[in-house]
Amino acid sequence: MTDGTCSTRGALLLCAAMLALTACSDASNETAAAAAETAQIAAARRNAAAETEDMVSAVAAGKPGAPIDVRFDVPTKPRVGEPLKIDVAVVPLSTVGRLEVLFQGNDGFAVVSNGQLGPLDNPAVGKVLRHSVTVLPQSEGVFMLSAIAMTDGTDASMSRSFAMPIIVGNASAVASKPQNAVTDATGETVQSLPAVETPR
Amino acid sequence: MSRFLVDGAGGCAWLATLALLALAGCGGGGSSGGGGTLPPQPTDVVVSGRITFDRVPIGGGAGQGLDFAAVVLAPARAVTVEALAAANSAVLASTVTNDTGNYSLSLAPNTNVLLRVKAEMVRTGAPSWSFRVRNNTNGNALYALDGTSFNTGTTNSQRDLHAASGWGGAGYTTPRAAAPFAILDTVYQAYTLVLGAEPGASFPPLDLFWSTTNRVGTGGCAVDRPSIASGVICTTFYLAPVANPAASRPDAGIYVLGSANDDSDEFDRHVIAHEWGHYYQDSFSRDDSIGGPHGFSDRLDPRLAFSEGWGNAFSGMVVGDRNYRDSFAAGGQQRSFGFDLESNPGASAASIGWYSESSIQSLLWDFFDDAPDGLDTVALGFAPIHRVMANEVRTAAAFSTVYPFVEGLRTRAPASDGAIEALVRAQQISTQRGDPFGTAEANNGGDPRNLPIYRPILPGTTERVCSTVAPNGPVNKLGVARFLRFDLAASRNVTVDVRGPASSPALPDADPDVYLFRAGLPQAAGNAVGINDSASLPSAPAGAYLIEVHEYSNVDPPIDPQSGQPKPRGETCIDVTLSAN
Repeated sequence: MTDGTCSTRGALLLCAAMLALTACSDASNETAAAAAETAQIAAARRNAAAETEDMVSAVAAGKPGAPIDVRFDVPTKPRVGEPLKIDVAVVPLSTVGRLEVLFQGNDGFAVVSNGQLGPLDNPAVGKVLRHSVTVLPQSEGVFMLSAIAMTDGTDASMSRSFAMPIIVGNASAVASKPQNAVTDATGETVQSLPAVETPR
Repeated sequence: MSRFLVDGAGGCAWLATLALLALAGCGGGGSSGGGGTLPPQPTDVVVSGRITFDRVPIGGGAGQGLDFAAVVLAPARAVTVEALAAANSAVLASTVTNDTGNYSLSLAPNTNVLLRVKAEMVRTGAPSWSFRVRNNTNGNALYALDGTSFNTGTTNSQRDLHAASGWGGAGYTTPRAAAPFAILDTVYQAYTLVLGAEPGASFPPLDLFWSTTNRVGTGGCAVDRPSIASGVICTTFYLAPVANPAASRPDAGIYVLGSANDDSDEFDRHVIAHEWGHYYQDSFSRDDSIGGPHGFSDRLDPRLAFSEGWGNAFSGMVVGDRNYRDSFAAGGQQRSFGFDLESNPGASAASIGWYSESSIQSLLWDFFDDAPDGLDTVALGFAPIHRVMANEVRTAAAFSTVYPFVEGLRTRAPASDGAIEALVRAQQISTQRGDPFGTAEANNGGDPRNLPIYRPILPGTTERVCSTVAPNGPVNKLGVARFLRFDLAASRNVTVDVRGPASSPALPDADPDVYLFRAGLPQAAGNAVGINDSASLPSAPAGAYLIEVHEYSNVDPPIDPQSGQPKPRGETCIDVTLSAN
C-alpha cells in the first residue's frame, strides 16, 4: 500500500489502530448500553489524526503479516533481579483460524513465565486478549521483549513480530552515535563494511 | 590480453580500444575521477575481479527459516566499483559490475589504491535507474564494501571482494556486509523483469533503508523521523514520495527490517519484491489502496484487495517462485511463514471475489506463470501485465481494482481471452466485457448492498447508501466505504452533500465523510465532525467522477469507555446529494 495520495485517510487508519488498542492498561466490565459519543470526543479523535498526519502507519504500508496487533504495558518500575510483570493486549484485526503468540527476551532479560499465549482457535476479531508475561532483568540496560504472533488460516500461515523496549535501572535509551561513516569525494556519506578480499 | 570495461547495466563489454565510444552509449560506465571516461593509457595496468555476497536461502521445508548452512556465493550485479587513492580517497576510476559480478578497472601503475563497492545501482540514459541502500540509523549513509590498500604494481592483477553474511554459527558475530547487496540483488531481479517489458524504462530514484537495528515496534506502531533514525520502523514497508513533505515525514523509500533476534528481511526476496511492487505500482501505474490490516479470509475494500494481491503476485514474478516466504526468528530458532500463489480460493473459501486479495493474487499469478493448473492455461509473462498496469489501470476512471486490470488484459491478450475469462469466473468475479466499473457484478460479498459497486448518481438527485461493518468488519473491509459515480459532459461547479442520521437512544450521531475523486486522485473532501458534510469542486472539468462516502467511526472506531473495545457506529445510512451548476 502506498500513502502517496491518501495521507489523510492513512492518518485516520493510523488513528484507528492507535486508539483501538489503548485499552491495554485498564479494562472493566463491558456494558450493553452504548455510550453516546459526543462531538467533542469525535473532534478529539480528528485532532489526533491531524497531529499524526505526517507520521506513517507502517501497519498500513507494510509487508504481508499476521493481522494481529499487540500492545504492552509495564505497571511497575523495572529493577535488576526482581521479576517484572508485563501486561500484554493481543487483538486479532481480521479473521484467523488459530492464533499463537510467543514472547521472548534476550540475554540478561529472560522470560521466566507465561511465555506463550494460546494457541487459540477462532479468536474474535477486535476482541482484546489479555495476557501477562514475567521476565527477570539481570542487569541494567535497555532490553527488548519480543512477541511473535503466528496465525493459521484456511489459505495460509502468517506471522508478525512486535517488540517493546524496557529500560532497567538508569540505563540510557539514547541511540548510539553514527559509526564508520565518512564523506567520500563525491560528497556522499558512506558507511564502510569490511570486504573479504582475495588477490588472485 | 582481455582488457575490457564492464557495464553490468546493459551487459555491455567492450575491448579497451572501444571503451570511450561504448560507454557513451551505455550510460552507467566508468569514470575517472572527474566525470569523464578516459581510455586506458599505454602504461596503465588492469585490476579486475569479481564481487560477490553471501546469499542466505530460506530452508526448503515448511516453516524453515534462513539456512546458513546452505549459503550461496552470489554475484553482486550492476553495482558501482571504485578505485580510491589510498592517500586521500580520491576516486581514480569507477565502473559497474556485469551480470556475473565481474569488474575491470584501468589504473596507473605503482599506485596505492583500495577498492570500494558501493551498495548502489545507478544508470543514466535510457533505461535509467538509481537504487541505493542506506543506513537510516546512521545519517542515511550509503553502504559500501571496502577492500584494503594495495599497490597496482606494473602488471595486471585480479582481486575479488566478497561481502560476508557475518553469521558465526549461532548468531551474527561480524559485520553483516552481505545484507545491502542481497537487498540490491532482489531489486536487480525486479527492474530486470520490468526492462523485459519496457526496455527503455525510466525508474524514479529509490532509496532502500536497512540497518541491523531496524526493528519492529509495539502494536499500532507509527514512524516519523526520530523513530526511523532510532531504528523503530515497525515493519518492512514502502513509503511513497509526496510533493512538499512535512519536515517530520520520513524520507520516501523502502524500509527494511534488520533485527536478527526477531525479524530481518534482507534475505527475504519475496518481501523486498513485494515492497518494490508497491514502488512499481506507484511509479508506473496507480495505487488507490487505503491500506490497513488485512488477511486472506477478509472481504476487503476492493482497492486494498487489488494492491495487496498485486504486491504478493509481483513478488513471485520477480523471484520466479510461487511460494512466498518470509523468515523470522522465534525462540532462538530460524523460522518462516509463507503461502502458495498457485493456491486458488475455491467456492467455499471465506473470501473469494473482487474484494479478496487471495483471489487477486491467484489470478495475477495465473495470468503470468506458464505452469498449467486446473483452469489455468494462461501463460502471458510480464509484458502484457506491465502494459495493462501502465495504461488501463493507471488511467482508469474507476478505482484501481481488478476490473480495469482484467478488462485491459483481455483487450491486450485476445488469444487468451477465453482462458482469462474462465479464471476470472472461477474467482466469482464478473466477466462482463467493457466494464471497468464492475457494473455487472453479481457477487455481493455477503451483503446485497455491496452492489452495485459504484452507484450512479445524477446531478440534482439524492441517493441513499449505507456504511456497514457487518458482516465483513470495520476500517477497510467491504461495506465500510460506499462508492458513487457520475459524469460531467461539461465543466460545472460540483458539490456533494452528505447527511447521516441523528442520534437515537442506542446510537450516537452519525459522522459521514465524503471524498470526490477523478482518475483516482482526490479532488475535494468533506470530513468535518457532524451529521452533515460537503465536498465542493468549483469549475470541475468534464469527465468521470467517483464519490466515496463512509461513516467515520466505521473507519476509525472509537474506544468504548466501559468495555475498552473498539465501537464503530455500525450500519449508517447516508443521503448523498449531487449538485452540478
